[in-house]
Amino acid sequence: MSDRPVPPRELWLLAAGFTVWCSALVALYAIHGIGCSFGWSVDSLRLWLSAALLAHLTVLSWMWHDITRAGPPAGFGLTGAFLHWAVTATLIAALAATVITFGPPLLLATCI
Amino acid sequence: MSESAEQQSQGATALRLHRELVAIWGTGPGLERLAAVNHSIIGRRMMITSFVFFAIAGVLGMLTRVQLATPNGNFMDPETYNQVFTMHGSMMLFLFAIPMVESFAVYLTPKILGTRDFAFPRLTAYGYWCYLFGGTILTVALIAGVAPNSGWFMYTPLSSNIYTPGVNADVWLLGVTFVEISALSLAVEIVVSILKMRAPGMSLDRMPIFGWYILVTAMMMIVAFPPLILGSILLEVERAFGLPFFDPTRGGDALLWQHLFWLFGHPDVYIIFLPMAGVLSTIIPVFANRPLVGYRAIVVAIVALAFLSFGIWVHHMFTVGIPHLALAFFSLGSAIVAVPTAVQIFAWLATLSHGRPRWDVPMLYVFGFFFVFVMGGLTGVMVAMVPFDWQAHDTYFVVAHMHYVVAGALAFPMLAGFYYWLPLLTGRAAVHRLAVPAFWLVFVGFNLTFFMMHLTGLLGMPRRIYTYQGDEGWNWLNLLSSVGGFVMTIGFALVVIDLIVQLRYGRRVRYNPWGSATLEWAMPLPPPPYAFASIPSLGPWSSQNASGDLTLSLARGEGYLGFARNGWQETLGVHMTTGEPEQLIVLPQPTYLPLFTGIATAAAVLALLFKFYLLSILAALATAGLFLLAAQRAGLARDYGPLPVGHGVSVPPHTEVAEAPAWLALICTLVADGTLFTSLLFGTFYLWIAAPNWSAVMTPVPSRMFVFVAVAALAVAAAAARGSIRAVAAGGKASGWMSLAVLALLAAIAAAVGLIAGVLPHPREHALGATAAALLSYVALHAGIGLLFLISNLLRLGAGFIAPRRVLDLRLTRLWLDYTLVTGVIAMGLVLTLPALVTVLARP
Amino acid sequence: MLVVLSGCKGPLSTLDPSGPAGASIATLWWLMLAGAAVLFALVMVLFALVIWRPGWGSSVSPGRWIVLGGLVLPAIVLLPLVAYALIAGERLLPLPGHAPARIEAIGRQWAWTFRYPDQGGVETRNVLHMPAGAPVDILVTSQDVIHAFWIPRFAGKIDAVPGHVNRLRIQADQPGSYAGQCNEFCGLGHAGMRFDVIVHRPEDFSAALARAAASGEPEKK
Repeated sequence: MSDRPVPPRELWLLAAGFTVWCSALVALYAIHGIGCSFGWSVDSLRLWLSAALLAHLTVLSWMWHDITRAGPPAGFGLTGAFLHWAVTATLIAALAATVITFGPPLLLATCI
Repeated sequence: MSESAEQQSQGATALRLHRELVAIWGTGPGLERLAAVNHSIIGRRMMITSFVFFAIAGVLGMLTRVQLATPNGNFMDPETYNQVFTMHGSMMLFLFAIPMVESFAVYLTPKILGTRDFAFPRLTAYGYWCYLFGGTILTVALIAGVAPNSGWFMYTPLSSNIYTPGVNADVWLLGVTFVEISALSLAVEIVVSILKMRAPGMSLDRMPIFGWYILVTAMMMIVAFPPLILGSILLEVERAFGLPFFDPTRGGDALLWQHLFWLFGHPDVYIIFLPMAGVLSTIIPVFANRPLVGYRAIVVAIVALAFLSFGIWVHHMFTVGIPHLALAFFSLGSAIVAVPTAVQIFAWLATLSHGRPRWDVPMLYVFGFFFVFVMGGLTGVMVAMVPFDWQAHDTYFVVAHMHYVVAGALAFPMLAGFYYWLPLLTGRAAVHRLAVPAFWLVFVGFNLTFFMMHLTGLLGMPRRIYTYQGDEGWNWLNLLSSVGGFVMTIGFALVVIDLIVQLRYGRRVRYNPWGSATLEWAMPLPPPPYAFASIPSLGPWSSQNASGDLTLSLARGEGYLGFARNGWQETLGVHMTTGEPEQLIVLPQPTYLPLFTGIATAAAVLALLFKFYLLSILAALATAGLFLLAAQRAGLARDYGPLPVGHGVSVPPHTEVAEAPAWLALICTLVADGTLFTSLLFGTFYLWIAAPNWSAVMTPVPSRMFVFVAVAALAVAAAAARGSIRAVAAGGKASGWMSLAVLALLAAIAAAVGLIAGVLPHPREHALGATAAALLSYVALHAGIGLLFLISNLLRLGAGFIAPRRVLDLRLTRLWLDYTLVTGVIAMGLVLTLPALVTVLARP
Repeated sequence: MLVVLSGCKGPLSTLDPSGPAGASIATLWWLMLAGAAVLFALVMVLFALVIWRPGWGSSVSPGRWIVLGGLVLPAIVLLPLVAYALIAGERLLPLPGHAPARIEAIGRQWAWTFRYPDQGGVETRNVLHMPAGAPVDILVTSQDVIHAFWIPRFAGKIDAVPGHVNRLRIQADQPGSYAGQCNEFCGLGHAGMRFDVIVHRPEDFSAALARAAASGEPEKK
């Protein structure tokens, strides 16, 4: 086989995007729970939530940008191309999911 | 007409190879069948056992329908009814649904991936025995009238010992945990096997889609089951020893149980769905006469579905009083989880559209799937909308939704799969037309039973009531549902009869009756114990083709490993992504050890159930001893170097490579363990933040000296493990290092026990103490298991299994001790600092 | 249509609302039912066509099938739906700044006690009295296991969790007799844990409540 073997790391990258989505859920749910329990002000809580969401969106955007800029890795053959496409697609899906799942709720009443 | 001489000699070759391999791989008759470790045998056993539990649980469901057919029914009293509906749900989900999808995975995966068996055949057998014994405990409790009676999700405080004093809840907690641990061990094995044991050349992009579905499902199980196992352990400890994790009067919270349960419970339903979606993705292309459309899109959809399913569990808790903003996260997540599902549905439709569809019994059930599952998915989107759920929650609307999605996602694809793979399982194909009327009875009966329940729920009928007064407007709806239930039962009975008839009287088939391209058909039907006489490979430009030619060629030994060597059960290990042959995996042969280990485990569980704690400890030690014994028989006792495996390729045995299956298996196990630990951390923080009665708790600081000793000792043990590896690799002795590690672990355990003894507040008085005790016990337990690793290492060192080129045992120990150190630092850090945090950051 | 609607009536029917919250949720239900019916028909028709008209739809590329059906269709349906549901949900919340009347609902196995702090702290058992036409906040808790407080014709339900007090805002349109029930499985007596709801004209409420509390209305079976 003339192609170089795709390192297993590429397989685990499939999980990367949605791991960030899960992290966003944990962070936002925890911040919200702590803020409501400890009586933070409405504006303060919304600010922290927005900051946490923004941080995760930044990470996801950077990951997407990074993988698109690099392009499909050369010399890894069809397996490499397949994983590259799949990883990119999961990143885009995770980014969309993060925006949709966590954006609109931040506009709602905070602790009721 | 006479066969050519060449054909005759080829036939003789195949026959000789078959005999040699059967001698090595076969399981003996009679009682020796109890020693089976072969995936085909265990897979079939699991299917039959699951079906038996399905029948029992189905009868229980019918009993509820008899009771509810008319108002003021007195067919059953409330106590009986509560046991019946609890067991209906528990058995269906824990003893039928998960084991049934696992049995498909166990039976089919190695064959579809072109390998001979799983990585740990004895573990497959052990998993089955644990499932059987756990299920038996639950069933016997039902017959004895002490079945669990607090609902299949066992909400606290109802399930605590104050409100459910009998043994019923303990049966559930211990029995279900027993079964879940077996499912978890199978999941670890499946992940390792799919990643490392495939046909050479089967790179990830050429792996049949079924492999992707099962891989992701097994990974989901590894992360989904631990929260339930933790919750069950905590509740059992609360019931047996009074530690108040869920008692709001002592710092616990009833809602903690719900979070832990649904963190498991929601992914659970996707764990049930995904393998069946894999069945559909495998069957539909065959009946469309073209390859599956959207392979890449489906892989991405599966990954998205897996992750999203872990982030929406609170949609089962929309009415507990959580603020709307937080609920919105889960409502939106529950809505978008429909997207990956829709991707698959439309990929299937596109496959049919772009193909030349043909109709047969499996397609009838595919139609049933489309009808029932789509309807269930649509009502799922409805209940994902928070205001609507505030009306529909805990009513018969949810019962309807749930049965539509489960029947749609599981029952119909499962039956499609049975009819499709029956020739593989039995070597016979359908002759009778009973299948069609049976399908329609099931389909019509199902819809008659459950469709009107949507309305029944909207008219206000709650779940789990044993009767109703008759003036609410529910009467005719319940009667209709009950009649439908009988129709459906008759239908299922006909299906079972039909399958049995085909089993005994079906037309014999030899090869690939459906003309499918996947490898499970490239063998004689029914399959021999070794599955493939020689292992197929996917060449660079060949298309996968399970034609008769391939089957015969493999039978003649023209693939890899087409020979017998040393009486070993051999198969190939490959590179995870490329599928290049990498290692020769030598598997254990049939043995009674898994059965004995299962019995010992069951004894420990039963002793806990009846509160004979000393006996339970002894049985647990016996189980540990049997695992040690099993470890002594694994692997090879000398260096072999690269061995020829066919086609000019030579690879080392698995004992001499870095990425042996056992290494990956430990990593997967630690992921599960880590999830359990994280759930415990989450539970501790949750109680601090949300539970009542934390403001006045006293918060002294635990002994810093004990903490220091424990952490230092764990660090020493981890370092000593590294030392032992370096020593052996350099050709020196390791026993000194290992003894040091043993002493260090003993010191760590002593320090942890000392800390537990001094926990304040007392673990029975407040959840702060209870969680501290739980965290410290976790560390002590892991140090204790580290001791078991070291004992095993010392024994195997003495027997010559460990050598400079075979250090896998020591690496496993090192990994375990690293994990124990990291979790120990976190756990003890939390125990040390939480009291201060609670005081300083007091909740208003 | 009238036949269908009459089939939807009942003392515990969510489809026969008698309060603004219940009405809002019922509207959401009818919208979703219509949408679901259309989507279900769409998928089943597609299935029938691809099976019985070989080659139907094959002019649409496989990729387009997946994008249109798997991404575009869900987006068009789900995003507006969830937005509508979130807005509707916000409107149902017991937002501060209204100071509505408060009534405490305390559940236990297997009866309800209602306390009226704004009416001098009197108590009634298994019968809830409230005034018509104004929002009332029910403060729900439990003394033992988890129960749930639900008057289907007025509003959604809220769980009664021991150690917590949950707030549910309900409003009744008309005076009259209504029904409520415990809606979380709570043991042997769960099926019978119902309560009556008597809605009074606002001007009659205090006096009627005082009479009821004094007379000690009989426990409902």
